[in-house]
Amino acid sequence: MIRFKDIVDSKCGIRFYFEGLELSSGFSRKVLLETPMMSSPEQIRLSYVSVLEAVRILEDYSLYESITDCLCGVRDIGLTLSRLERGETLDEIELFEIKRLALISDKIRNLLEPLFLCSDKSESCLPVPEDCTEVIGVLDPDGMRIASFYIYDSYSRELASLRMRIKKMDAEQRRHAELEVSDIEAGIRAGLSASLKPHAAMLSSSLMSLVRLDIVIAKAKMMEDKGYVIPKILEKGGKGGYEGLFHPQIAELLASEGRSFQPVDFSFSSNTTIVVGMNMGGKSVVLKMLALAQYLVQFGFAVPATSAKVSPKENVFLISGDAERSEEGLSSFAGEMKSLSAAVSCARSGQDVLVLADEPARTTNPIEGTALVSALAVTLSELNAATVIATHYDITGIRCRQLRVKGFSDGKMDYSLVDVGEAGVPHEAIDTARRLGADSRWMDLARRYADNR
Amino acid sequence: MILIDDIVKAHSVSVVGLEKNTGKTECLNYIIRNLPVEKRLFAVTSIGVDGETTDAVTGTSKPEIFLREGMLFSTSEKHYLQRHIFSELLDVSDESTPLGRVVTAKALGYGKVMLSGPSTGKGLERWIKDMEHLGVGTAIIDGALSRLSSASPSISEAMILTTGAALSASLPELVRKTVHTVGLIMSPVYSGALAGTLAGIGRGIWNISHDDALKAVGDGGSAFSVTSIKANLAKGFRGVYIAGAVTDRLIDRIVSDGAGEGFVIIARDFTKVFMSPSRRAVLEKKGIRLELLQASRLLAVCINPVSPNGMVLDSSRLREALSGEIPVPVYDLFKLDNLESSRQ
Repeated sequence: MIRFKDIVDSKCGIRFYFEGLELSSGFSRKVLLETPMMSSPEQIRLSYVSVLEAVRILEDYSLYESITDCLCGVRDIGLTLSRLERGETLDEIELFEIKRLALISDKIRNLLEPLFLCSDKSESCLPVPEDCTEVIGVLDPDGMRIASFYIYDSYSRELASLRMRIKKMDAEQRRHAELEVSDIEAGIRAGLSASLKPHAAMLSSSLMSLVRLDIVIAKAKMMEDKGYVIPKILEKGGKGGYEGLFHPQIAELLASEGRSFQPVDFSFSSNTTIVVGMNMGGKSVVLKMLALAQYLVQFGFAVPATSAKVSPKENVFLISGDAERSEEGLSSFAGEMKSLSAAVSCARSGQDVLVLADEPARTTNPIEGTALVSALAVTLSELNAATVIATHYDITGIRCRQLRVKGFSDGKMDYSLVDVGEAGVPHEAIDTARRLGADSRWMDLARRYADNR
Repeated sequence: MILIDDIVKAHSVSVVGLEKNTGKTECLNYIIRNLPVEKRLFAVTSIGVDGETTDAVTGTSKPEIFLREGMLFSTSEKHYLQRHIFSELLDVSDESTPLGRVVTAKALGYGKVMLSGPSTGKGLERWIKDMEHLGVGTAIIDGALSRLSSASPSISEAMILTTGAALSASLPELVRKTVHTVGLIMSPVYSGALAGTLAGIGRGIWNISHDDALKAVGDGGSAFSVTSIKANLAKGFRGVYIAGAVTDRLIDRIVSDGAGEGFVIIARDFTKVFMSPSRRAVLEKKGIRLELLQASRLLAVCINPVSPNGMVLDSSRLREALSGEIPVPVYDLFKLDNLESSRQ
């Protein structure tokens, strides 16, 4: 099972997305990181429905503010709740935590109520906390509805009168009386814990609802603020594709340099897609975007594109040669081969996978390199894996689709992809090097050698 | 009482001791006894874990903080559950310390509690903000021993310094050390053209040319040791801005690089200056100025003439000696309290 935390530092750059989420509670962050990746189309669709419902909260800014303000108070009190469930006696701090959770749940239920006036609550996908009235009754005997707590006088007449008397006592008497007070308080705490015990499971589910609500509101907020879209979810094995796909982090980086990101259209084909194009032409960026978008969909986020159709996968592999497994002490080639064969065997085991390989076998000799890449393309095609390979090798004589990054035209970079069929690899490396200011003698010679071949 | 009036006017005050057992806790208790709690909401916490009943180093008893009805206080879960005060819990924060999370409560009676609040500067900043949200007028911080960081002007608005026999058994020595620290705290504020720019630079060492151009020494970002700096830090420059710690070694280097009359060393605030009295004298002799980007408001110096080993200095002579050299009021809190109890 893939969890969000497993991929949050993936090279596709999903962390940038994660850090941009406006979550109200730190606990939601923790829960989101533990969330498993969805692969059932139905589940993903439902999660998008809840994001769309959350948009209704954003439409009323004061409602949004009130709800997020409440959610800020949500803390991870799992340990307290499991102690309660086991029938242990809670201390004052733990009772305070439970009271706070119950009050927040209650407030949020009231705030959400108007949203359900026109629709059936049972059909809503929005997470709603449970009814905590009984719990509040136990911890707020005076009906103050304030998120503070102490062992109230109204719990025991004896305690109340002792507290009155204690104020007039000298130090010695006071010490004895304080012991008595703490005995009475302990008895009350035991009683409170016992009467709260039956509500433990309900409180846990309320806590999780609040966290899920926080996450879904943050997702909706990001979608609305950034203009991302909810994709159409295809059944397993569907091809899918994107229009106007971009990479938010790189786009932001370019914008800070006064440049703009050229969005890309891409659609998967039944054969392996080979992306060719000059160096610095955005091939890696295309692969990163595809991985990012796939993960975003399967964790229920809106996608940075103008439209998208996505088929969920059971596993996503983004493999780029340079840094692959160097921490295991493997050479770049060995590391890359291991990662690629992991992807292949995953596909062979029957899993529906997306494989995105950035210049595989680039570090070996071009003859074998070309052979390895061509064979990889065919093997993954046979296994029905959705595959995109970026390469500089001339891949000919196999069934595949070739796309080329347009590259330089009129002195400007054009990142868009064009179908080149079997046109082969463009020869632009020397021109690119020349533009970068490489030695002219060296470049002249290189051009002559390339033309002679 | 002037000290209390000054505290009431500030939004946040930290009380820091120049040394352990210089009477910081007594000072805090004195302040709390005299606060107008019926007129204004006060909150108190302590930085870091120093909430043991007996002092771990000297074995002398370490008094708890006495709180009055209506005040807010923040301490760790552990110390909250051990408290000797009737109080109402208002908040349990995400801020965690070795003794559990930091909780905030309101005193519903008179009593004592051990304080162990946020343990980092950032945590303290957040605490001050949280207190503001709860309607607190003045937030008081019990600064940890030899950790002046809580007194940084970027964290608390004003500060009170405590000094005493524990710092030195010899009266002239004690005066010298205290005057030195007060001198650093009250160093002049840099008001040159670059003040705004420098405030935004949190790292590195930067040369300042005669036409106020800034140049990073090294890459301007990484922390480096004095010996690894190859560039000249002084010659041909008007001054140098040091975002990190200003140490004796760095001063020596600046002097040997040719800094002289009129050269200015700019530090972020006094908590970043770790300079011995001898280096201070060198700077003065050479005519090199030390200036701070951010000033601290020192409200008073409080003295504790009793050291943990029982040695007592002559309090009035100490007070006189300090008053002559320090431009802020100097109080002996023990004396103030005696005066007060004899009046009652």
